[in-house]
Amino acid sequence: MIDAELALFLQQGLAINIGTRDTTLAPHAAYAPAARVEPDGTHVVVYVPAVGLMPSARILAHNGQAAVVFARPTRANRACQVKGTCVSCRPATDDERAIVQAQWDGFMQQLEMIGTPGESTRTWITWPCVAIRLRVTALFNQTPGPGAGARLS
Amino acid sequence: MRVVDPDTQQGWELRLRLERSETSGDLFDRMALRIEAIASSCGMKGIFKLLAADVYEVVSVGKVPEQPGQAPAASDRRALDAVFTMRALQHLTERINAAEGLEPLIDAILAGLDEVFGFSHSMILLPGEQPRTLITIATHGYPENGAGAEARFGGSHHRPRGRGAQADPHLRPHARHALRLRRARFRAEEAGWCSAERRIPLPGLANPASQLGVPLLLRGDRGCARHRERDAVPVPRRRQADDRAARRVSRDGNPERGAAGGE
Repeated sequence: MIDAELALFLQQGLAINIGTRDTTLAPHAAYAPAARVEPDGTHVVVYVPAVGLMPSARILAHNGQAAVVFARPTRANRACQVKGTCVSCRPATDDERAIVQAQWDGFMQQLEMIGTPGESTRTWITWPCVAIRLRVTALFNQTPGPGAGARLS
Repeated sequence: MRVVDPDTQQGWELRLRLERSETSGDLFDRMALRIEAIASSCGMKGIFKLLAADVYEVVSVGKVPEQPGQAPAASDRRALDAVFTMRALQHLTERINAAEGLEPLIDAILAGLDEVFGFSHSMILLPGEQPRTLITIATHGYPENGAGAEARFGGSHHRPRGRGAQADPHLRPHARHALRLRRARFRAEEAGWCSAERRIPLPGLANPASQLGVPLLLRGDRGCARHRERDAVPVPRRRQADDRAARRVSRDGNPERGAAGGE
């Protein structure tokens, strides 16, 4: 479902937020410092700081539904939403820490470009993470403009 | 509404009540301008349009039990070099009080702002003889002193060159010198010795991370302004121990060991 060009975009270091909802439809969200698209393009692993995951983890265990928004703060504010079903949640491994840090650094560079200095974001918690593996069920364009909300093939 | 402290992941829940929705006025205009500025920086100028600014009353604020967060690791806290605390203000005040004379006073103010609060580049300006103009009387941190340089309210900066400045490039920037430079400039222009188009750049950073202009009152009049720039925006954190010490002194009246008043 996710082609090579979109996979490249999603993994470049973006503002990533994963949203869930409980049985009362109350939403919960958590930011994710990184994500990884599996080679087949049908699964995405989202890395969420373990300390802030509790509400979302509870919900994912219950209904498994999640929506992940990827947004680039610079260059026309391109954004994409990935909807999916949770397949597994596990602690991220030390091998994955480099991926998380690289994408987070990329996101920080973009924030610097729009006026948010690294000094004010350096202490944001990004590790340890929980790796949430989602099976992709739908993709949507979220770039502000006339095409926002359109389903991506 | 829920917000999460990104430094600790502590969740906070705010219960809100809609008070009103504004579609015009100061608040609406400020938000619309800010949105346009953000959009421009993202290459999305003209895409976003503010429809309304909703104002809510905060009914309650509470921690989210499921998101207790954690304290940042000690290694994550960098050494604080510029903090806005009572102790810092006390240090600056001591420097100002120790100045003997106008020139040392002005130097102490600008140097103190740098050493105590981290404002590495700053200048003081006084109203000029022409309406809506300010004259630079002292600068700090810039390679050029800029004494006598002129700034206008709401317009581009004018940077006159006067014979006084040319005659003495090592002139120290303070009020008397700056005013003499300005008078020299006018006399030079009147005599045809130099034209108004000849300019010296007003001191300034090429790409400041932040700029702050502070109007100051002299005997009830808006007499002067202080302009500060920084290469980097300071982290808005407070050294809690310093301020706690200051409060202990003020409550007891007796300075304690380690408190601001006892050192």
